[in-house]
Amino acid sequence: MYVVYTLAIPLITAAICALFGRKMRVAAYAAVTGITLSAVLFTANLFVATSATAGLDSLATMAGLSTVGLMVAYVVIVIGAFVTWFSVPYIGNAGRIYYPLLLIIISTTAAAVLSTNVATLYIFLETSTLSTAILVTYRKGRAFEAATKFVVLNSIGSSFTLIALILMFLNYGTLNIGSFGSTSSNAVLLISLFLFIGLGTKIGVVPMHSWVPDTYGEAPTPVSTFLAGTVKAATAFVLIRFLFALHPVLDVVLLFIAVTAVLTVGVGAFMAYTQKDLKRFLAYSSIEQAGIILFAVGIGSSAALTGGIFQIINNMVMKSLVFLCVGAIIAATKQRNIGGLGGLVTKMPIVAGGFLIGALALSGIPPLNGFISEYLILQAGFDKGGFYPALSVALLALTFPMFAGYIKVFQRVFLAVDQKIEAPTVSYLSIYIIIPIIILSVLCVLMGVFPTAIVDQINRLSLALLGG
Amino acid sequence: METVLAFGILWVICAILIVILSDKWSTLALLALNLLIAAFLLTENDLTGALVKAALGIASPLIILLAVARTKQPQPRFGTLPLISAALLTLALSYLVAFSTQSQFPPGRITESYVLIALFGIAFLILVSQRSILKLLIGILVLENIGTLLIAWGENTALLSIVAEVFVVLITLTIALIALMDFAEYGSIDGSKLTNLRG
Repeated sequence: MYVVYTLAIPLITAAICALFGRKMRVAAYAAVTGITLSAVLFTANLFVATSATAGLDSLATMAGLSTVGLMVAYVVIVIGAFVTWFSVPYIGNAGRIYYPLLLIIISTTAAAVLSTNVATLYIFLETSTLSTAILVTYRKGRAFEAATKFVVLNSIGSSFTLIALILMFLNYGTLNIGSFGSTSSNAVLLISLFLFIGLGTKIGVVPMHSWVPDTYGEAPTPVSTFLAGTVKAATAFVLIRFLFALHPVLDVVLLFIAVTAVLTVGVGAFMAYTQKDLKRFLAYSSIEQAGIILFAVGIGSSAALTGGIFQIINNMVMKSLVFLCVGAIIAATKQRNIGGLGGLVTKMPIVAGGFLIGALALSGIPPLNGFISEYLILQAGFDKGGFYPALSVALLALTFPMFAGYIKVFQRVFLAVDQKIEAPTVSYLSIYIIIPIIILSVLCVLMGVFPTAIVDQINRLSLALLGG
Repeated sequence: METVLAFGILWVICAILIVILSDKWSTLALLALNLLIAAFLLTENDLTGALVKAALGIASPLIILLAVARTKQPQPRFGTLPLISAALLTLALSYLVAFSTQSQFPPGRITESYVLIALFGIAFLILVSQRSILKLLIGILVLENIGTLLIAWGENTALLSIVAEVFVVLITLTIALIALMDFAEYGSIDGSKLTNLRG
């Protein structure tokens, strides 16, 4: 079974969903079936593949895909499946374009992660961005404002990415990043800056982050979940792949990225702490997470990239978990104001447990998965020397407001009992909502307690990315 | 070199007109810019690039014109005189940057590099000086045009230029559609008034 088919299935399903647009129930179940089938086939493919290229056929190679990002693409599809399940009770029967666009975003995000070709990468990134822009308008009203900010800023970012990709082609003479040779330092500097600004805008790096809280806040929660947990992390992986394909890699670029990353963590953490809206709180926390991933990129060593890619995968799991928990809360209480919630631990124990695990994992508390990846990144920062130990200390210090924010939100939403809120309706907590929360919670624990197998795989991947 | 210089001057004039003029007239300036780029590609013997640019380069301004006709232009943030001054200052700064980095330019592409840096500066000015969402869209399209001109530097770039131009039209369509939604919801396409979500 080949990966290219597992990416095509969601696209074919998207076409089917569009055909059955008026019959939302049929479209919903077609979407769930299609993406689940894709995830199952991808899983089977990972087990069947016995060599580095076993997962890809000539069609995939022609489309500019490679196995390097296979693990990350797999997590994209699996989280995409959870998000689609979650959409069934959450979205209900409205909106004929919802499922086709969601499936297109999932498929193109996974394809972008696998892409090694400058032209196809641009196609996948842009398709994902434009589909997202339309999907963000889904709830109408204030969502139009969010969609405007999203599409304008991301299109500016896309222009920078396009220029970077064209400069790559002109300087290296090939569209395939695997065939890149060496070029002048000035060319690399220019390409790196354009690439960082372009993809950094999509990741939500400070100061190009202003679209993030609005978009994640106003988009339907399953869409916010996929954007914050997966699209952002997948774009960070694309940045790693393309940045480290450039030769020579420049120390000044890495230091610039590291400093920007620390700034991003600080802004994300402090702004998150001050938020009163649950989704905006998580949006700012995703900015903080993006900063941690980028810090690994800025260190640029093999150990840092191992931590960074593990953090990317962890972010997909942890961030999706907390977003889905918040989605469950909003669906059950119709309330997203942190101050208007309270005492939910007894009414929604699974959601409370899931949120606590996700929050602790995101805060880097052992023995959860976030601890391992953040430890690897910080360790690599201290090992690198120069400015990096000081930056690592600054990064660690700046994550404390985020931890305090999570504690505050958990206490307020789940433990505080002085709030009188309407009891959540049990029907909202359908199996489509609960199962993803349970699976992601278990993954957070398992990936933290038994990280060796994944870290070994990622270590090989990071060595390959650095040309080792 | 004379051809590049002549086209370069015309492109920069079009870009400056985009900064100064109203939404409708700056869309026509964008159309002129696109057609001039298509003509330039023809002189460079890039037939595919020229055809793609001519065909799809008309589509984007047409879409914007349709959107302009269905919306009301917001009050400009700056008057004409400050905008002209800013454009000239940007141009001067761009040439200063180009002059100071000239030794790094690819051999035989000195004039083109100057023009591209000037266009980049003016595109940036459009993005920071305008309120209208459609004007911001035009600024993005000027940025994308830098990509189109860079593609022309390479060989066997038909695929890249088609991909880039198709997505330019799709970006235009999406932003124009969202601008229309904004106008229907808020009665304005003034980007600076979209502040309900701040905090």
